[in-house]
Amino acid sequence: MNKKSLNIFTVLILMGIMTTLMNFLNSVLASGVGLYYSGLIVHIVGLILSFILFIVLENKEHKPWASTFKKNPLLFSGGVIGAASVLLVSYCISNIGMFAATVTMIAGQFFISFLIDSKGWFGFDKVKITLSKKIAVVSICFGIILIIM
Amino acid sequence: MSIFMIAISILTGASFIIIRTLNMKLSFEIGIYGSNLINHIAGALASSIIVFLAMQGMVIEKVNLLNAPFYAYLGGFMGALFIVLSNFTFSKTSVIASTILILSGQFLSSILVDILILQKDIGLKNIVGAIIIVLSVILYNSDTESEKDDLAIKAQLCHRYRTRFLHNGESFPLTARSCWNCQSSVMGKCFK
Repeated sequence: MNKKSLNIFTVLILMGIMTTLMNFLNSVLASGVGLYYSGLIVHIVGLILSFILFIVLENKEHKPWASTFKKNPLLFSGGVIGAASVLLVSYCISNIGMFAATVTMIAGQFFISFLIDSKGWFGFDKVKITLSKKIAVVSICFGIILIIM
Repeated sequence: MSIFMIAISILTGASFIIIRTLNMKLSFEIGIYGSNLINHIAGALASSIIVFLAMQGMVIEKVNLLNAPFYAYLGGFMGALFIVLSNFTFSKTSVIASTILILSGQFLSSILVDILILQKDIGLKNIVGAIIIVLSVILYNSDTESEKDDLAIKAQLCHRYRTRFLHNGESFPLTARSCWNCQSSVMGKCFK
């Protein structure tokens, strides 16, 4: 393995660690200032950084926000679901621990991706569900049961 | 471990994908950083409403921001940094490599958090369970034969991690790799 790909692999592992750290820090915040306030604070901190990124890095021409909102307001609702998700993540971690929460959340992501792929929801191409994909889903369920039992 | 909490946690994980899919589709219209900004504005508004509803009828508590350590406020930064890093790394590795490395990083660090900080026991069966899940993910992605499939899996990864999926609209279908690498491109043409 050359040095360049080793660097990228290291960054990818760090990204996994960052995800855990982010969820953990949010739950520490929740235990300090209370669950509901923590959700608000997380979003305000993220909002500041998103604003800076938007000003610095967004340089291409895009469609105006107003007409996009009129055409499909549902696209703007991701953050609303996110407000609930941030609270639920902290709530889950404080109840079942970091590892069990991580594993079950990954499983949830995998299952919904599987559903989206097989049904072609949200306008994605349908992905053919082969036998090995079915076996993979069953063995993931097995892995989860092993962990939570 | 209660079944109820497990179900909540699985549903929370599923909600991430819905959020990222909506944000990705929005980013095709107004750009990736614009979509990220909208996401946080909507989230901040919704969180304010939740705080308002939760506090109604009660004496408004004075939140002491010093109750949490300084580093606890950095969680919000991690999410944004993740998006920037994913734009940089996903174009340079295979889907399987990036998925497995990120999962491994997540599993290992969450085991460490449980053992060192939350002082929970992590038994051997948990480790075995995690390995089974990583192997299943490899199996799930292993039967990729054509470049069309590779493209579909990249698209799946792309909506999973809310990153940009670049494609030169002129010469579709391209191979997944050239699709990721062309910089002077139109976003979102890879999807219907």
